Amino acid sequence: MNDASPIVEVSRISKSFGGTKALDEVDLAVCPGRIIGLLGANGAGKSTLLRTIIGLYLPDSGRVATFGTIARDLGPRELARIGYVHQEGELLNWMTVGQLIRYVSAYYPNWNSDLERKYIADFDINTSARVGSLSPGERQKVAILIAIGFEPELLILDEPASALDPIARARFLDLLLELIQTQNRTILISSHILSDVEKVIDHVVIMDHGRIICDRNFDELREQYHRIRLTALHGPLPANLPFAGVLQCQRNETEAILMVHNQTPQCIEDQARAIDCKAEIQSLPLEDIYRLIVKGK
Amino acid sequence: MNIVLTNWKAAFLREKGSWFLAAEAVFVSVYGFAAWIRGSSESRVIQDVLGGLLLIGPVYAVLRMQRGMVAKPMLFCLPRYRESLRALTFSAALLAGLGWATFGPFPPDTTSAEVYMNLAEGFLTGMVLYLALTTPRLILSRQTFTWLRRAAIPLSIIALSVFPTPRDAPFVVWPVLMPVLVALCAFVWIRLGDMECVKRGQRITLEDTIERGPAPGPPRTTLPWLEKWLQSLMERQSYLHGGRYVWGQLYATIGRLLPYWKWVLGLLLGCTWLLGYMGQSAANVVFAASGCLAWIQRWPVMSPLLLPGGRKERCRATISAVVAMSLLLLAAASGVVVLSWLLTLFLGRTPVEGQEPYVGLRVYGVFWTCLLVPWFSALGLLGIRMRFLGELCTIIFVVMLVPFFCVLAIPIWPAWALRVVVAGVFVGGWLSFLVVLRAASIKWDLVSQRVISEN
Repeated sequence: MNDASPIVEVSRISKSFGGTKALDEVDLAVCPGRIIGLLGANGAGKSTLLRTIIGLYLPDSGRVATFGTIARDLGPRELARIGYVHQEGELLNWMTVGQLIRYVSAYYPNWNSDLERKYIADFDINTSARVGSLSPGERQKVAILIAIGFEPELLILDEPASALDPIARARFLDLLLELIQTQNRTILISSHILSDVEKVIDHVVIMDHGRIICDRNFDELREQYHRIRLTALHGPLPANLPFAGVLQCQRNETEAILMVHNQTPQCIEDQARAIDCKAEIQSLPLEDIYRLIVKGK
Repeated sequence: MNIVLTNWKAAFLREKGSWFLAAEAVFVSVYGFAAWIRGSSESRVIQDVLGGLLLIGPVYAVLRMQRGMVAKPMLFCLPRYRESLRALTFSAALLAGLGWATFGPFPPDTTSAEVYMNLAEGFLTGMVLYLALTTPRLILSRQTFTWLRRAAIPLSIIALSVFPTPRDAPFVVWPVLMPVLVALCAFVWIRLGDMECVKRGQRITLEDTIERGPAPGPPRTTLPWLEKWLQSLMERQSYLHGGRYVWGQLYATIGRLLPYWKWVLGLLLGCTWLLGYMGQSAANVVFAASGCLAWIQRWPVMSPLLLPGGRKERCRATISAVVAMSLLLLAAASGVVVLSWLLTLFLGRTPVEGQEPYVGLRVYGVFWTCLLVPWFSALGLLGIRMRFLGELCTIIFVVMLVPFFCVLAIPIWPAWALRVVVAGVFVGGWLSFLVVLRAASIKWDLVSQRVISEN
């Protein structure tokens, strides 16, 4: 991870739409080279935050700076370094796919034609089809292509794979993994498909009701949450289990499954031994961690 | 639950702007009727054209509503669906009849008795026309419908050519034409009440839709040389230069019209033919009304596609696009004027009115096209940000246009006064547009947000 100065600095921003507060005093710093998963329920404020970062929305209060420039003042030089995909993004329906790609590529001096050709072949994109006649999944593929074709330094993906079929989604993930090999490329990805997201991210930001409730390195987060399968070696399990930080517990006479927080594996094993039990310790998938964090906020 | 009222309510909520325009059309008709009574035939023409244009929105809204209602098979399961579809269709037909009676072509010196006859005939004609547009698919067999669709254009030409007015053939109209129109309405009423007939029509509609497959999208452009030229203008600018963004947005704005160039050409030809008979006042209204195309345009400042163009570039691109639209409309209107002078060599009396000869249009009228573009652009931008306020302002603006045109048409103004007024409208329009655009560029969100529910 690159600890250089952040390329995105969000400082106490708030944003409301009518009576709905979409962002509530949000702070966020995005350092270059990070792959950030932005998670949250529908209406948590993820899309609003992403759009505010690229200047499509203006905050009611606070400050947003991207590449050192206030979001409202972002110009061609900064925007040429940002790629953006949104699942409901509008494209130019009257153009063919080929025309649209040529039109968009004309804006970027570093458009990668090899990447474009490879992407078109891998995703089986019909360049002579009208954009307006494409299915939602095909439109999303095109939207992804025009966002990554110029190899942006900052790639913002807002539900990029929601309309893709499983095979296309797998290919998209492979593509993302290829993209993140490039040093100093920063990706902000918001998605409900957490099983996909956790394969690529190294940082997690969880939002709830317009606030950020978790902003942690993904590895550190995973180390904090464990699932323990506890099996009594002789006789039934004790009535009171001695583990601290228990968030969930399901048990019967001889077995228990616990979700614990802030307990090291060594500590868990010692405690299990102390009560004559065997402990199988597993890391939790991102989806479970997300649920526990949101539930426990 | 009353199905008919529920559908009308849904149509109103979905197309609020159209219904406000309908209310405004009523106002226009009242105003025009008053002017006509005072003996101003010019005002009547202006009222006819403007009111007719205003009705396009609500007619579209009604057709969409009816189509939506018929397309839902589950509605057949609702109680009293049989009556509700028929009630919905005929309530819309009644409105269409009223509209046609109000805006129908009346000779300027019609007597009182002829007014009532014209109104009655116009009312029934409007109803039959609406039913002819919306119900054949539902009530006719596939074969009959296909034949009727093919014969629609020749039949329409014949009808327009021989359709008598009460003045010309009063003894034909009342004993023959009126009963025929009433019988057609009764026929549709009975057929719409036959559920088996309607179900069959709906099944045919769905089968045809499935056979057609997914919508092909806009037609393929056949002017690739023009597209290439527009793209080359863009590519002449340096990368990351604001100029490249501006030209690119201009290409995107104008380019969306290219696939429809044949339709545009047909529309211009049709306008040329009609306006030559309707007179210069009507032409001025149509040319000015064409500016309302700017109201529905998605300008570059609100483009959701993220490209290397900041808010300043978007602002410049929008100004360029509005100027380009004004020039395009000016060119189109100029083409209509030139063509009208060519057509005077060939066309004589209109087959419909039979009163006024075809007259070439005057050149000064083309400048009306670019007069209102900035006004409607400003109102359109305002409507994106504040929908209700934008629509309300648009309606108030359009309402003010009616007396404006009527007053300008009065031949008492010296030329210099007219020039001052027109210059004032032009400058005022651009100032209004620039003020709204500046606010949009500096302060507004550039894309519309979804309503986010927290529950």
